Amino acid sequence: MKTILLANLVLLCFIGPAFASEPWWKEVDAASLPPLSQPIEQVVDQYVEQLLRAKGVRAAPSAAPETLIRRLALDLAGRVPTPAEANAFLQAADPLHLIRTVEEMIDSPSFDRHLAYELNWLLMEGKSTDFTKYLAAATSSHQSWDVIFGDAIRGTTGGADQFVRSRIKDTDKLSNDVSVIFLGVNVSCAQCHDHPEVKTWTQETYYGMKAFFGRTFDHAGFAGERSYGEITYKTVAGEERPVRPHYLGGPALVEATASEPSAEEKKREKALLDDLRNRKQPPPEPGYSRKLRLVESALKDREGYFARAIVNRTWHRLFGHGLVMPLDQMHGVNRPSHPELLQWLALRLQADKYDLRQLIRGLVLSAAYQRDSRWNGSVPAPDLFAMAIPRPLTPRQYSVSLKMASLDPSYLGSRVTAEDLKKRVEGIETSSGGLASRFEQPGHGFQFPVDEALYFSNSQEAQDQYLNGGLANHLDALPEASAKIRTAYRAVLGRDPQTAEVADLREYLESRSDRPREAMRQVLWALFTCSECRFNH
Amino acid sequence: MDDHPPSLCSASAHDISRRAFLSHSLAVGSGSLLGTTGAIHALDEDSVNAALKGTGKSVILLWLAGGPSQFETWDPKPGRSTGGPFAAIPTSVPGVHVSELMPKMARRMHKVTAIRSVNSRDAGHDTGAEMMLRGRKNEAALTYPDMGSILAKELGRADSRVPGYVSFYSQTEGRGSTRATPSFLGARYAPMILNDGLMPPNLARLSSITTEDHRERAQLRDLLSARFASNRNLETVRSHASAYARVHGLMSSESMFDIEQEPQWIRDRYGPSLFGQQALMARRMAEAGVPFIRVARAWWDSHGQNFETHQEMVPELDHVMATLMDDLEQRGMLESTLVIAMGEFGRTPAINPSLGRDHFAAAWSVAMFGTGLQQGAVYGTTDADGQTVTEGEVGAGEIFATVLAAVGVDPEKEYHVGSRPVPLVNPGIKPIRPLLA
Repeated sequence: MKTILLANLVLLCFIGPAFASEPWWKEVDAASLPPLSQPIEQVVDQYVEQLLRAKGVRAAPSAAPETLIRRLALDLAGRVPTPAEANAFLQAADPLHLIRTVEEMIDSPSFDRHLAYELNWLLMEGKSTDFTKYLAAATSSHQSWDVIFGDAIRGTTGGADQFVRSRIKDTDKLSNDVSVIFLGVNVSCAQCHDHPEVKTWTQETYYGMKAFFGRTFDHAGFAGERSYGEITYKTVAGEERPVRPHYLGGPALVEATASEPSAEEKKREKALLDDLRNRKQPPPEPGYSRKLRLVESALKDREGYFARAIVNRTWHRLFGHGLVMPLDQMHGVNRPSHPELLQWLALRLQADKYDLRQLIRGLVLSAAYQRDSRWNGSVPAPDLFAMAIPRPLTPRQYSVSLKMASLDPSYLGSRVTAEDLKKRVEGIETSSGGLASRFEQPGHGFQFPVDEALYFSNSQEAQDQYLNGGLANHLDALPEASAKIRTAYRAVLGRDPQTAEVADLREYLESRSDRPREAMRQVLWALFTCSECRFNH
Repeated sequence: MDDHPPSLCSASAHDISRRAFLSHSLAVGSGSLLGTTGAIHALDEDSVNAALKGTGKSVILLWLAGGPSQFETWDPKPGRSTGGPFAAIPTSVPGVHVSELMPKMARRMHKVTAIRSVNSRDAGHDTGAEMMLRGRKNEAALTYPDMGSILAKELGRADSRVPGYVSFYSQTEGRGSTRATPSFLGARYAPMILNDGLMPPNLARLSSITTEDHRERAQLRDLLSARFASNRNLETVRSHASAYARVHGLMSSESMFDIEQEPQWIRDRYGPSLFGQQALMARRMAEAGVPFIRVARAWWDSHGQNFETHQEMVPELDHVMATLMDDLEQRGMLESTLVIAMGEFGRTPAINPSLGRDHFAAAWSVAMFGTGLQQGAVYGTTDADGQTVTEGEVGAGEIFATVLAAVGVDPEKEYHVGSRPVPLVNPGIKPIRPLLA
């Protein structure tokens, strides 16, 4: 029974076609890559254009400026642009204003808050814990990705320990999450059998990764680690084998043998731990930490899993599709759409000391990022990046943007001082969490739940939040239908309506001239809930 | 119907202006805004489920959270040291006995399919529930959709006006561990969850908005969205439209959730308990075409005072199950509805010092009745003390596969997650053939 089951799991885990024996990155000639000093955006466009030419596909033109500023604000600040941001962008004439806008946004506290939110989804599935506070501090002090990784695994600084603590009851999940999140590979396929595709990944690879966490234990709300203890695993043939830590199939870690403590020592250890637990104190640091050896191994890894994984995730977030898909199958036989580009970006990130800001700045400055999202007929393969893929807003992007749009336009208008504006924006961004929980975080193959449509259609809360706020009152005060429509479009969709759109909505408003106030609210509702508002496009 | 204040204008004037607007907006829709791409048709189709037609079958899962005892229900061992105080009574199937706590089901045993040889190998609440509701363990890398999401997809109609999956779970015990997930099937197949009350949230129109405004703003929304979607031919964009397209259908199923519409004598038959009323709601939903309804009844976890707990809870289960069976039969719905009664595991043969029974997954029972099953069949046996399965051992996978097969879904069917094929049950797992009609 067991062997049949295991054999079948091999089939279950099978992904993709047959494979070459060398990982794809060994085939990328490092000497042929552009110098690392070249601007990121240039290198992105060079390789993306190269593949488009090879495939004979002509990319979509650049998006209109009002679309682009909305996209940039959503991706960098996590919300639609303020009127000031939009106007500055649309009115500036000099060629450097795009770079200036991007850099200002990246330097703003909105960027830090948005990045913290995104990383919290990546690392903690969006749950609000002490780790959220850690991330807020880490992003606002511009911590690099390698430091965040180290803090999460080491887990000693305030809040950062939640990463390990929240997974401590399941070491399989802990070690698999670490590989998936930080290294872009899912080794769980090798839990019950050797990996079907990556011949060098055996069951020992899986347990070798798990062994890094084999000494981690739960200590009443703290993650403790011992400096001794070994794990074993059962082979397909049923044989019990000990396993030492080794990093993704590499050689076993060289470490001094840790002898098991004597019964007397164990007793003393238990007494010490009991005492600390009673006093709600963390367990002592181990003399030797395997978890830290994992951090070391990932950071000095010549194969580059760690850097490639975050490059691919960041790319995926901004482009709606990864250079490698799925995001957790970044192993040697799953070729990226643009291998040289991914390798170069990973090397560049290392050269930039894992500064995600530099990476994000470079990606959004590329022509590939700035394309129009419209395409007549069937869309081109997503991995060509020939068009901007419309991406559903995250719950935070949507709720903050809706809140911002539903306020009286003067609240963030030109008469507000820069200092007040900053505070007001912060107030909006940090107070929209409750409403964000009404929406679902989009993932791969995302489909909108009907709950969201029902929520907007029939809840008093949505009615109060979006239709009875400052914007609606402001519109009531405007004397003329066209002005109302234009103001509503600018506030909600960040653009002027087209002539035909004004005509349609005017017609509707006129047909309801008996109740103009109600009619305008229906227009507003339609704008808040329409797909153009719901997507980053 | 027309509930705006009459002082503002006459209803007939409204009808005219509304008609004018609608005809105008539709004309605009096919002209300047939509173009001629036929995008509106794409909006209507749920390509995930395009090939499927509704089957008209429904499954009602009576989820006995916490794990009831097989000894006090379907597999009594009277007179043994493990048997407890209750007697066994004969049933309408000659030679088959059940606990004396189930006299009503005993009389209907010839319509029941009982499996007495379940060894699900997992006696933890969370992991056991995961096992029974998915037919297997999740992988670290892959969460499997639960039974309800799979059946919502396989039995439902893409254009259905009713939800595909409704879950009642009023008690709090064990609720977290059975959180349903559509996983890779997507939010379209997530359950509508009714933890408080019988009516889902946001289904009824607010009284502050007229039906007319409600409908017209939805049309405006569709118009704006269709323009956006017309040159963005992507699945996610379409799914936004289909979520809104389902709103009015679901709202029109509001009466389905209104138990007041059942005659009092029928409500009385199910009894005053919440479990009974929810079972009646489940029947209403199956009748309206909801493919999967779960009614959870907690908390069977009788580590102490097992016999008192069962003395209280089994007769309720017996009554509700029997009423549901009669009601479905009288409506001719037994041919299209499958009812399952199970928890995450059974309970130990050994009776502990607190007169309780603990978690036990090695030899316990699941009962079903309705479509696709052999009636009056009892499958598998346990030893005299109920310690082990002696014949016909089946696991969670076989139960899951049997449920699928009974409602006409091929358990070997595969979904694809990326390029990875994921069969509905693990390879090698088969339905219990002798139990299928």
